[in-house]
Amino acid sequence: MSTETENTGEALDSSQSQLRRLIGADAIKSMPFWLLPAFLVGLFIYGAVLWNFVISLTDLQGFGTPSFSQLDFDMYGRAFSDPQFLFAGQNTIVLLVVFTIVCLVLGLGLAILLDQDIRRRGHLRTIYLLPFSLAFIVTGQVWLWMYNYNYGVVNTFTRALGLGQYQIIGNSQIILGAIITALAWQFVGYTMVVYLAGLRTIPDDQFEAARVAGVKDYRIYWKVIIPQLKASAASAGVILMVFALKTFDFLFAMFGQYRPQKGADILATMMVREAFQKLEWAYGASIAVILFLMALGIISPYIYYQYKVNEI
Amino acid sequence: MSNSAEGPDRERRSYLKAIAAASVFGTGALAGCSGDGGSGSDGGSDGSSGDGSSDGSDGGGSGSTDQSSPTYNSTALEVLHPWTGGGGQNAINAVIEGFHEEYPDIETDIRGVGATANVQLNQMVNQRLANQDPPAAFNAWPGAHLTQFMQSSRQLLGDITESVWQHDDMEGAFVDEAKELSRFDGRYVTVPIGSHRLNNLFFNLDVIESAGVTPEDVESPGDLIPLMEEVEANTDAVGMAQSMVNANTQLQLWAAIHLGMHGYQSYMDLINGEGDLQSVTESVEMTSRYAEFFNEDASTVSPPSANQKIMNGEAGFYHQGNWMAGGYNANDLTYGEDWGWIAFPGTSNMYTLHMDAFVYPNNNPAPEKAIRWHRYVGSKEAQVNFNKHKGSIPLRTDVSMEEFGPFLTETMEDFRNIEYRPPTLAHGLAVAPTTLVNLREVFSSNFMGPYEVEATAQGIIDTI
Repeated sequence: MSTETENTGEALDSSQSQLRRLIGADAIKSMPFWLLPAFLVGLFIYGAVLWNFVISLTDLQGFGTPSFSQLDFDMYGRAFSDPQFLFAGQNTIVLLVVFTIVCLVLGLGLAILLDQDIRRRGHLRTIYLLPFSLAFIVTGQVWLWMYNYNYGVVNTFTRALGLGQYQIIGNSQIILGAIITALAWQFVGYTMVVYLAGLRTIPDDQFEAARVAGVKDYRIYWKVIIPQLKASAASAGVILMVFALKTFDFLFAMFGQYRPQKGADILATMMVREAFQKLEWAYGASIAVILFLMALGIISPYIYYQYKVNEI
Repeated sequence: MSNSAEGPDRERRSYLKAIAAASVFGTGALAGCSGDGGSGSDGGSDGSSGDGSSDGSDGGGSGSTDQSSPTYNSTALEVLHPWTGGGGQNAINAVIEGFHEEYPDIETDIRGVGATANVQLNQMVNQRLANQDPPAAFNAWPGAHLTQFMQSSRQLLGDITESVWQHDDMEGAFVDEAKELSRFDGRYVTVPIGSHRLNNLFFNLDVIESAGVTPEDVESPGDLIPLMEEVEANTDAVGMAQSMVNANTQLQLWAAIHLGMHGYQSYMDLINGEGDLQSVTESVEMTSRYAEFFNEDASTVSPPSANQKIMNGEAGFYHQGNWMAGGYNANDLTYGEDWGWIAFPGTSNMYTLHMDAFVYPNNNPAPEKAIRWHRYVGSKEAQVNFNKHKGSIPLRTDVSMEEFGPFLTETMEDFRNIEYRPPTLAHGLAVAPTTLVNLREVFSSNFMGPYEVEATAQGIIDTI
């Protein structure tokens, strides 16, 4: 018994050390490929994130220098007792959820419609993708015009339909909805392309088989096709949510200030205001950390999912 | 790394070398980063080492010996300003051109950082100063706006009392308000380049005549209301044009109304933190009555677009700074025929003071060049060239107004003879930047429709 264990132990030892050498060699051999990128990413992304976190623990403000003697979570306490922070945080979450759902649903609809077109004749994809290629500075300004009370195309439509005219940007109740609509307009095309890529991987055979069996088209999509698009939806969803957290550019393009109209303040604009206008660096940094955690909260389930299905 | 000996192929070794070089560079960058944020005490040495690395050689020195000028260092003169379009751009270009003629051997790097109300420029300057990487000169509002720099534990702004203000007796030529707003604890840190008047009420003369009203008779903000009613009753125009795409214009209008209703002293008490809730409530209330006459699309139009409504005859009155006159000139509208203006009701004995200035940061990357820049900015030539394009007025008392046209000449005369010159609130002269941001928040949250008078008034009092 004992000799046997010794033997296997020895065998394990030698095979382990061989393995270790192999891994070591591989890691070394591939070093040129990973070391530089890893270093740069480490420095400029994780280094900056870490530095930002450290700043958020200080009470740095103005043009002073941070003192690291007393690190605490005061700024986070301040954030959660600041009504403006809670309001902006709530807006951020509403924007995130509604915008993502709208884009995923509309994108899917468009993708299915276009998919039929592609399977049968030409392609129209580019038209739908066009808004995505526009800069926020352009779309922000264009939507501001479209929402104009007197001349805006939105009010032209509502007037034509006999619904009357509406204050859209000037109404704090619906401004967030208006911004979500504008953002969705820009991102639905992108979502659609992600879905289309997924749809293209589904072979025509499945359609033909279902049709031979006499199944109606919508039932084919509902029962066979859409369930296969889960991965596309997940990856599009993650990207959309991360974009939603960064709506800052869009709002700045619209309003020309870091303080958007009443009802449309989000954490990103608040963070810039606190840090760069009021010079409350530590408070701004703590808002940034909270935003980062929100982004992380979105990404990590996705990464875990990918890990579980052996994609990474 | 230690394993590298076991596979001595050349390719890999050269890779390693490259990586080693890169990591040395990276470590240097890291050290630079932590130096920036970490230690403030060695700010001076940081600044100067930045010069050396950014330019490399000091060959520029040979250029500087040509003239009587002292030893310039090799760093180009970097100036940041907010004028990226329209009259402002022509104005700064005229100054740059003149500066090049005056100092042909100074290499410049003059950059416009544009956006409404200096939002982006101020942010960039804050960032650069916080990182101890100041430009040679930057544009800002003088007065309270600069207190954020003066109150810092680090010396952020340089003293140009001797080098600029006492050179050629510049100090004697400037008006007192300009000097007061440029000086902190007896030392000058900035040179104003021009001033706009802010308490203007513009109107379209066609609209006014069709409505049958005479704005010249209006004596208080309340008196304007019947006139706006007449405009709306007798023409297609709205009573008052307004831009509410952000809250600053609302803040500005309220400040004008407060001055008009309660006078100079009440306003000065207010900005000094001794405001009276009752009087503020009254002026906020009055502002909300004005709002009934705004164009309905106010929340989506910018200040120039709101001005367009005056030009098109879609609105009767418009309160803005006198920079809006540039728009009328650009559209060939004649002063006195197509458009006119009065001082905002109740403020005919005041000139609400707006000012732009160039600031001299401490640890200046190009100190001698920056001194030349500030001297030039304060010169007669620069003040005339800048202001005639910008539609503002020079702050020197010894310049001739020949080139300025009737509107600006009138403004200049008012400026010289008027009783009070209250500093503007919405454009940074009256309160510190943090207070200004908070005031805008008060208006954003409570006064962009629906108009909550009590909350706004209380917010104003609490903020200042």
